Amino acid sequence: MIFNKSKETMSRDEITQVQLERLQMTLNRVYRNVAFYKTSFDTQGVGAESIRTLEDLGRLPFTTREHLLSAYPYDMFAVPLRDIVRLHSTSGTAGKPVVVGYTKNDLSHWAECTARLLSAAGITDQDVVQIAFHYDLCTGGFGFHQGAERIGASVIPASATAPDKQIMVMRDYKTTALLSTPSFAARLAQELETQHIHPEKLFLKKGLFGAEPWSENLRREIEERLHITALDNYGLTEIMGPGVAGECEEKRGLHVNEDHFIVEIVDPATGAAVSAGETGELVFTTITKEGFPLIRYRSGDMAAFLCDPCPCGRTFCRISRVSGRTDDLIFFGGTKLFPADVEKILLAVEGTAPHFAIDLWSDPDGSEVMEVKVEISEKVFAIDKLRDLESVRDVIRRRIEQVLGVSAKVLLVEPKSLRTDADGAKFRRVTDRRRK
Amino acid sequence: MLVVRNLRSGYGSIAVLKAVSLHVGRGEIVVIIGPNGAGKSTLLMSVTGLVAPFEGEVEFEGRDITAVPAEKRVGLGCVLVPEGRRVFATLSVRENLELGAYHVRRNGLGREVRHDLERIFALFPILRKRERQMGGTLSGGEQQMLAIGRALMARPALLMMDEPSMGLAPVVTASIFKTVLTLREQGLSILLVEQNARRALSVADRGYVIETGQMVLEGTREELLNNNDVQRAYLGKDYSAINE
Repeated sequence: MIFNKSKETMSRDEITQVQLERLQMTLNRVYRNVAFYKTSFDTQGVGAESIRTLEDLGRLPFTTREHLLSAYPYDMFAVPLRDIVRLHSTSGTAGKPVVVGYTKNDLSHWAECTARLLSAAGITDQDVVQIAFHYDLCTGGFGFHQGAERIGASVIPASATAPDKQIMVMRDYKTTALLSTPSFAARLAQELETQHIHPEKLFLKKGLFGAEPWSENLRREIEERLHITALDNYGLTEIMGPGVAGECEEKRGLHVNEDHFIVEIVDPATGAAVSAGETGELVFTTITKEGFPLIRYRSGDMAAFLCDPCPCGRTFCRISRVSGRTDDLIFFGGTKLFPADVEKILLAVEGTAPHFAIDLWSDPDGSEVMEVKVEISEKVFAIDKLRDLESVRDVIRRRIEQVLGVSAKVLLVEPKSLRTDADGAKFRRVTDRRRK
Repeated sequence: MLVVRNLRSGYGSIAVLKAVSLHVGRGEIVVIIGPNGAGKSTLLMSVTGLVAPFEGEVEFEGRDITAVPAEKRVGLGCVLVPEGRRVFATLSVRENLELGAYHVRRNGLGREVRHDLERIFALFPILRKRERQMGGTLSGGEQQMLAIGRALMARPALLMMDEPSMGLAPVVTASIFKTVLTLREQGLSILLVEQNARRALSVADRGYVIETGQMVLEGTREELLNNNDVQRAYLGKDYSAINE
């Protein structure tokens, strides 16, 4: 079902007009209210008034993650804090996170956007929706919650609690739709098997999974093991959270909510638009956000435009499922972290720059494991006291948990053992053997 | 219905509007609010063709009318109720209304003018009472009705109204806005410029906020009423609280 037919089936001319109007207004607002954009447009000699077509957007400078980090916490807000009614932030960075503020209208648009995604996945007011995303500073839980309520579904804010509890809720509360990360869905499938519960004993029919890239293989696996239809969706906290784009039941790419966002796909190296159908970096401009509008934000996610019309009737453009990253961002346990964040922690613990490697794999019970291998410094090695080593390991583990919010195994290894320069092989910082 | 893109317009060498874009859908009531001197009237004058824009495009019913002169635009169904009413003071009410039908007559539909007149009298019964009275002798509210009636005689598809509440008592303003809703039910699209933001938003489907010649906000009635800037600047809400 199409949640908002008059919007989601607009003609291309109408979409273009709405996007142009809203883009011009957003540019006028950020120029007036956000010092970063005023400076940035002035130094580049581009003004809101010089943007006459959507193609002109390409003349404006990009906004990057670094820009947002240096604006911590509120410098990118386009309204005074008293107009902000909700704050969220990005997860898993050793430095400062990106803080995102929402006005009343922003929250209402957010609910609309996620409601559209849920509708596109076939979820109605008859469904019992179990939301197994964190309900916290991250956007997953609250973002979908509002949309599911707007549809009128029965919403279970399960949050990311333990798998056995999720299964109990799922079975006893007669959950029909599951919202989580794909890796958590796989974990739940494993838990079902462990508990010898046949999926047909559940009422589950649909799953909406997102917040990390996942493959068609993992989709098939989740669908077979949970006996559901599994659909992908895409969003990022900086832009809004979940609700930016999502698959309809056709499974032919993700419809972008084009009346709220303009998406471009650029070559990550040159920043120039890629030719039609080619994969590149997704770049987003928000055109209705009041609290935290962003112009040409580089997401770091790689995807391509799908240009043929979708049989579902929605006219919004589609992007392919995200196929990778422009950087080494790791998606783990519903949060995101960079290897550089781990390095910052190790620096603080050891007092020296230790060599480290990150291994990721899936345990037989379906859960994801992250192991950080750290070379101990020669000095520490010389002491050679087992208890000292253990305490070093515990400190690292605790720091990673406190700062990055993920629980990782820590393995201390001998000095120089991680370097394989000698045999010419390239050192791999991150080895990811998880099922995807 | 109406699509405006990148309109730059003004007087002499002074640009009042700087790349303004907006649209009005079929059957929509769209309101433009903004402070004095923001360019609201200039925008309507540019859409009607009374002011020639420096740059930009105006499309009406899918047709580019940027170069079409003002008098032809009326014939196409793009009609303005001007600010300050501008009724012909020395003509009778009936003559004022008949002048509105100038294009209808020229298009050979003169026989239908009588029927149209009856419609206007049904909408504003007071005008029938004043049929033979001079326009200049009417009260402000009656003159506003006459100005709207005159515009309707041109059989518009899009009716543009510039400050219809100006100088009118609240009770008269209320009745004018009630008429706006009636006209929409009859299939008209309406573009309304108003300083009385609260009143205008009460009838609007959607609105734009214009400040110093630039659009800064667009949204449904609910979205604009929810926006704190709109509340502070145009609805006067929490005025004292904000100054604390």
